[in-house]
Amino acid sequence: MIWSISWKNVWRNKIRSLVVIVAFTFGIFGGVYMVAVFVGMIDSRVKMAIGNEASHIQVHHPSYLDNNEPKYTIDDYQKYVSQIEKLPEVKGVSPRIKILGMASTSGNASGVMINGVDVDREKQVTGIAESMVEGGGSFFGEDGRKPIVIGEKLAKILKLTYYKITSEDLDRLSEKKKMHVDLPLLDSLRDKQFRSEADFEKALTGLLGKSEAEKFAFHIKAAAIKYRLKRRIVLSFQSLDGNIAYDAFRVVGIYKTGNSAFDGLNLFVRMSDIAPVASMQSNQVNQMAILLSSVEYDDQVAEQVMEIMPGMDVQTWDEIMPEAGMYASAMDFYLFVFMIIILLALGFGIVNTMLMAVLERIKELGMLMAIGMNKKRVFSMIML
Amino acid sequence: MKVIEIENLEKIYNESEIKVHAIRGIDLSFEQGEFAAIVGPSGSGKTTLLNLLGGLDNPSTGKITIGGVDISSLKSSELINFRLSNIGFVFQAYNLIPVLTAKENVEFVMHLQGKPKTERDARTKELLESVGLGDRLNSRPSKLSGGQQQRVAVARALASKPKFVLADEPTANLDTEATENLLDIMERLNREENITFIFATHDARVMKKARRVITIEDGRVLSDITK
Repeated sequence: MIWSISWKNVWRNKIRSLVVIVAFTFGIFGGVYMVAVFVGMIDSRVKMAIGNEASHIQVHHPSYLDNNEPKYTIDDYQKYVSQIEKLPEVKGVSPRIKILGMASTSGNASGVMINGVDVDREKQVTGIAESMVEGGGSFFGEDGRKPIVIGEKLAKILKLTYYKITSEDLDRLSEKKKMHVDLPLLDSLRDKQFRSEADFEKALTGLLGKSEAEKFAFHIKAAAIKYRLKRRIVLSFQSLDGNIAYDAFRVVGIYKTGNSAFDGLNLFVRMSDIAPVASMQSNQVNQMAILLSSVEYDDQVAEQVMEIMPGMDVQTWDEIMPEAGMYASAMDFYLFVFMIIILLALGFGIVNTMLMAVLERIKELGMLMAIGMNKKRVFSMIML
Repeated sequence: MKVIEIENLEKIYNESEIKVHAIRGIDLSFEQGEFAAIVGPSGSGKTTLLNLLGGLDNPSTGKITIGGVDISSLKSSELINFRLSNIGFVFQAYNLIPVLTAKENVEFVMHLQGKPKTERDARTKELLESVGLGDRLNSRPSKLSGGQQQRVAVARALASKPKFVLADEPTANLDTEATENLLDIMERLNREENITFIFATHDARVMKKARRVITIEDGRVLSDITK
C-alpha cells in the first residue's frame, strides 16, 4: 500500500511531477549524449593516432630517440618479430627503418621522415594502405623500381599536385546535394590545368565571386586536385657509415590521414630498397611498431616485449604521444566534472521538489504518524 | 474497568519567552465504554489534554496510564505502535488521505497493523456500512461531503479496534444534520461495541449527547459531571 500511496502522490500535482520528470530525463539524456560525443571524439582521435601513426607499442634502440640517428638499430629483428607475433594479443608487428632526410623534386624540397617498411607487415599495423586518396595510386600496389608513397600534404609541398576540372569531376560535383553552385560557370575551367592551389582558387574566385568561391572551394578543389604519379623524388640522408646517401624513387601512392602534420612529414619506401642505400644490414631496423587487438593490453604486452627484447626501449602509445594520452585523461576528468555538475543540478532540483512535497503535506504526514505510521514508513513513502 | 488514568498532569510550553501553563495538575480517569466530552472555552487546554492522552505530546510532569501502560515512559517508536493498536483519532478537518478512496483510507490503518487482506476487506466493509457509507466505498474524499468524510474518519479510527477514540472538535465543520447523523453513529457504536469515545468540543450538540461532561478552564478541571 505504501507503493500505491507513493505512486498516487506522484500524480497529486501532475504538472510539477511532469516538469521534474522531463527535467530529469533531459538532464540525464543531455549528460549521457555529451559524454558519448566526447568519448567518441577522444576514442576516434586516439584510434586514428594509434592506427596511422604510433601503433600501440613501439620498440627502439635506447639511444635512437635522443636524435633519431639511424645508427642505433635493433639487430636480428626477424627473431624478435616471430616471438612477438606469437603473443595472442598482438595483431601485427611492423619493423621499420626510420631515417630523417630530405625529399626533393624538380619543384621543391622538404625535410622528411623516411620509413623503410616491409609492405605486407606495414599493412597489418597501420591504416595508411586504406588512406590512399582518390586518383592517388595505391600503397605499393604496382611493382615498379623503387616505389615511394607520400602524404598529400608533402605532395603539395613537393609540387606533385595540380588542379584540373574534368567532365567526370563536373558530373560528380553535380551529384553532390549541397553543391548549389552554378556548375555551367565552371565549364570555362574544364580541362584547364593549374599548377598551384593559389592559382586555382584565384580562378574560382574570378568565376564565382568571393563568397560563393569561399563556400564551395573545398569541394571543388577536392574534385579538381590531381597527383603527378610516377614522378621522381630524390631522397638524401646520412647513411650509417656517415656519408650522405642519395637515391631516386618514383611516386606510386598518395595517402591522406586526418593529421596533415603527419602527412607532410612521413613517406614510405620498401625496406629492401632503402637498407642498402643507408648501409644497413638486412637484419637491422630502427623501430618495431606493434598493433594489439585492444588498447587495454598495452601495458601487459609492453612488459612481455621487454622480456623478449631486454635492453631495448619499449614505449606504449601514451608515452609515444603524451599529448594524446593527456588529452584522453584530461577529457575523462572534464567529463567527470561535467557529469557531477549535471547530477548536482538535478539533485538540487529533486531535493527542492521533495522539500515542497513534504512541507505542503506536513499536516497530512503528522496525521499519518498520529494514526500509527512510523518514521521509516513515512520516509519510504516520500522517497518512493 | 478503568481504561485511562491521569495523575497530576501538567503541560508547560517553553517555546517562546513566556511560559504557557496549558495543563495545571489534572487528575482524571475514564472507564471502558464512556461517551465523554471535554469542554471549555478556546485556550482552556482541551486539545492539549487530548494530545497528551493520545501520546502526540509529552507531559511536563504527571503520568498517563492507558490499559496499565504508562505512555510517558514509552519511546517514540513504541508510542507509534501503541497508538496504532490502542487509540483511534478523529480530527476536526477529517484529515483523510486525499489520494485514497474511502475504503483504502479505512483499510490503511489495518494495513499498518499487518492484517491479512481478507480480514481488512471484511472489516472495512462492515465499518463503512455501519457509518452509512456502504455505497461510497470507492469514492475519494474530494467526492464526499464534510459529514461523509468525517464518517469515513470515524470508521478509520475504529478500524484498528482501539481501546478508545479521541475526537478533537469532530463536528466543528459540519452542519446540524451531519452533526446529528455523526453523533448518532458514534453513540450507537459506543453502545453496541462498548467503544470509549472522548471528545474535545465546545459544540452544545455534542455536550448534549455526552453522558459525562468534563469542563476545564485555564488548564484545570472545573467540573466533572456524569449524567
